[in-house]
Amino acid sequence: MTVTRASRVLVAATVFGIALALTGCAPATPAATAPTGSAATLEGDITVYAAASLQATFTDLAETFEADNPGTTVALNFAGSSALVTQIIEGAPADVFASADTTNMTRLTDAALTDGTPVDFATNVLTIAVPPGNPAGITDFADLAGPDVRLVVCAPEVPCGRAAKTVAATAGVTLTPVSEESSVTDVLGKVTSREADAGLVYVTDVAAAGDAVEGIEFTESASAVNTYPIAPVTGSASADVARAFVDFVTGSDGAAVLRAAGFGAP
Amino acid sequence: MTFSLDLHVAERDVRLHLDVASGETVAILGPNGAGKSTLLNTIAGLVTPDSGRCELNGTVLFDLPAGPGRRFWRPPHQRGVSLLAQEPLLFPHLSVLDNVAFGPRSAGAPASRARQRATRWLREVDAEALSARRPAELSGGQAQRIAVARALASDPGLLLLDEPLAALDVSVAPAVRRMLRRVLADCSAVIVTHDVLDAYTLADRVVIVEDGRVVDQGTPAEVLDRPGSAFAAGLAGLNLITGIRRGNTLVVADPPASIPIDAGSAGAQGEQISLAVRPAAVTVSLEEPADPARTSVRAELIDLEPRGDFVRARSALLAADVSPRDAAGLDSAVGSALWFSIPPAAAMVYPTGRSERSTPS
Amino acid sequence: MTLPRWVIAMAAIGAAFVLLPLVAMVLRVNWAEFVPLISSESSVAALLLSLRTSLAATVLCVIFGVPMALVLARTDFWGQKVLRSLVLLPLVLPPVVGGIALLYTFGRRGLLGQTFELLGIEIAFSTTAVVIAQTFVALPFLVLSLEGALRTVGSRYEAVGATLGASPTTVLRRITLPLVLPAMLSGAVLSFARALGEFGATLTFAGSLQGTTRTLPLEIYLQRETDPDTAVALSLVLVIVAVIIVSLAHRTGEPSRRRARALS
Repeated sequence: MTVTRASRVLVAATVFGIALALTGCAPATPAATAPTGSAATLEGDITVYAAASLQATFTDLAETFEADNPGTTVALNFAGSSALVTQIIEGAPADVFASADTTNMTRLTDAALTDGTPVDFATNVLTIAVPPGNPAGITDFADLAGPDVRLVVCAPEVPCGRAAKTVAATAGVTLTPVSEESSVTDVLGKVTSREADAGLVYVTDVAAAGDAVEGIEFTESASAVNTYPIAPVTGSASADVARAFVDFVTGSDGAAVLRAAGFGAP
Repeated sequence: MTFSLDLHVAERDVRLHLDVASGETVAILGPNGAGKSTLLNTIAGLVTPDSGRCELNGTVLFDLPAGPGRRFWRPPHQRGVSLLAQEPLLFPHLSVLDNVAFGPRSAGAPASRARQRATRWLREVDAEALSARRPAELSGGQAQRIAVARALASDPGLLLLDEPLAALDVSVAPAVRRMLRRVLADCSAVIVTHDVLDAYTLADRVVIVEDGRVVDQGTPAEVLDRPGSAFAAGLAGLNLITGIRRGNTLVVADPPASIPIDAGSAGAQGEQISLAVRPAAVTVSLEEPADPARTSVRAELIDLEPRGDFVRARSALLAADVSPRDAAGLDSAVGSALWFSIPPAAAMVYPTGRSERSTPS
Repeated sequence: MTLPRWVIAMAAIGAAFVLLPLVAMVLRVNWAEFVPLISSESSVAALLLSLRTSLAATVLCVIFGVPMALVLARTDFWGQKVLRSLVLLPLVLPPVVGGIALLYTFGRRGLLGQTFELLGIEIAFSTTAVVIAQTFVALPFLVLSLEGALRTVGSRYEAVGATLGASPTTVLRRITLPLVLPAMLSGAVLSFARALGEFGATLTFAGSLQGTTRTLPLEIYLQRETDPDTAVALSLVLVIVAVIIVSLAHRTGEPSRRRARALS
């Protein structure tokens, strides 16, 4: 999903293009028209494709990045990691890709579309989400297998479902979910609407959902730690901005925002 | 009395009374919009009047008092009244036999008995050979025969016919009319028609309805040979002159005219009387006819209207049918006064008000 | 009449716009693996579930849609126009909105859901929920096509039937329904097609579990994440089923036009 930020970029680009046409001046490189200032001034527009679970943090980070680097704009596109990789491979104009798992980043690396080695910048673990008040009285992972518990998980085909499967295998618990959704959002939706008694989602999802759900942490979650890698995509028109954004996310500023949202350190 | 009806529809200003005796066929004649179809649809139960009462063979079809009181309305399928419309409206998805068997089947007859009955009625309308056909494979005349058989096969206490021959080709209408005459012979029926021939051949009694009121009724001969209204005269194809008897003249107010009548004519002094005469009997001449036995009036020739093999010469008072050859001679006289004359015995003079006219038992 | 050339050109562009994506999809089909892809356990389960639920939804559409069409076409009451547009609402409603509405009706905490739960009937996450979602979106198709046919046929045959002594039920059974049978069949086929393609409301309302609630469209949506080949193969299956259905509906729709001509 491209947020309104994208339309702002479009407007900016259009205005910029019209300005160029009016002045009849075509810059050789963005750097050539850089206004006077520090030598490290960046200029250019980038589009960041990021996993859906990064929506809140990356929206934050992009704003900070733009404020720090006034000549830049960052457009964001959030979706499931595998869908994003597919889009990039099909030729979508991404400058940076942040994945929710290493598998999908590997697909991009295998396609020789990453600029340099991807860097891990965050981790995420599963947690149990229950409606406020915890109507089914869940206290630990084994409770999820109870006969009267309506459990909703992600389908094994998607990363959060793979993680759930791994965790269940480690804990030696056989889960019988009433539904296997295709995204974390759908799992969370079933819990917030109280259709389900419990759902397996990421820690960060519970943090983002606020009062709508309660999170119940469990020790077995450590067996399926999701690692989030990030890398610039090859062929970017603003490679320096893309690289700077990746450095920003993996640096101390990025870490602070990510930790606050519940992500773990890589 | 098998059937009686009182009907009031305020919106269309209809206020009618109608009786039908057992086995009697009553023809209802009237101009367009006189309320004839409303009448039939009300009897069939398809239109609800404001108030009125209707009874058939001792069963109340509806009783809708004008004032307070219990309102009763029997649904169409419980009335025993069949309606045959201008169009046959055969059910397109059923064979001819099943169309005719529809009524008996609906009454609860087993399929085989219903079909036997249907076959009998198909024979009655000379259409047994068409049993297996679909309605789409029938000509207009054939379809209307089947529709008649279908209406009669449901054994209605009263059969309603709404201009049953109007949509038929002129070449097939006579045969269907003969068939109707045969099957209606011992059937209580009400037929709405425009065609005076239908009235003569099918009806025992004729009722003239104008502006939602019964204006005249009697046997076809009474109503149509001595018409009481311009409409009835028009249907019967007669000139009708109505005025007051003053001595041996009929004094007409509009257009002003005095017509000599026979001293022995019916009607008292000062009474309203009518004179009816067929246009074919009237002659037109530039000079006053010498024959003193003829009744002659002077009137302005309004126009000459070709009607096939004759030409109708019209005045405000009388019309005359003349040969095209004679008409050619009159062509230059349009707009001027001519002599219209009636031979003795061709005119019928009778008192206009005929409330005393016989009604059938 | 002779059409201007530009009209034909625009029509060709429009047709290409509709057909090209289908061609593009067919070009992406992995033919070597096609049969194994569509005959995997999850694919077969999804296809069978889709057929089963769509059939059940179609039956429900006929049971409730025929009376609805009759009431809309043959009666006249205050607020009928408003009622008609409301009844046809699912036709224009985004499916996900329908799903949310159904959730608040039949869900565990919904208007009727709590009552059902007391009776021991659980709708959420069950195949029943899928059928409800499909019926919700498919019902207007049957009502719409049948109501139109009823108005075209008119009520004159019904009036004749009544004067021949047939009770309202007999008239309905022997006259009205046979006359609109072709429209009823094509309406049912369209409802089936709509039920088969239902996705948004099911996803929101019923969940997704193999063999229970994961219909073919949901399976395609899921496989698209990891296994595009399966997704494309299953999409083609759905397209083929849709084409068969559309041609069936077209064929059953024809007799009604012929009949309408015969009437006029």
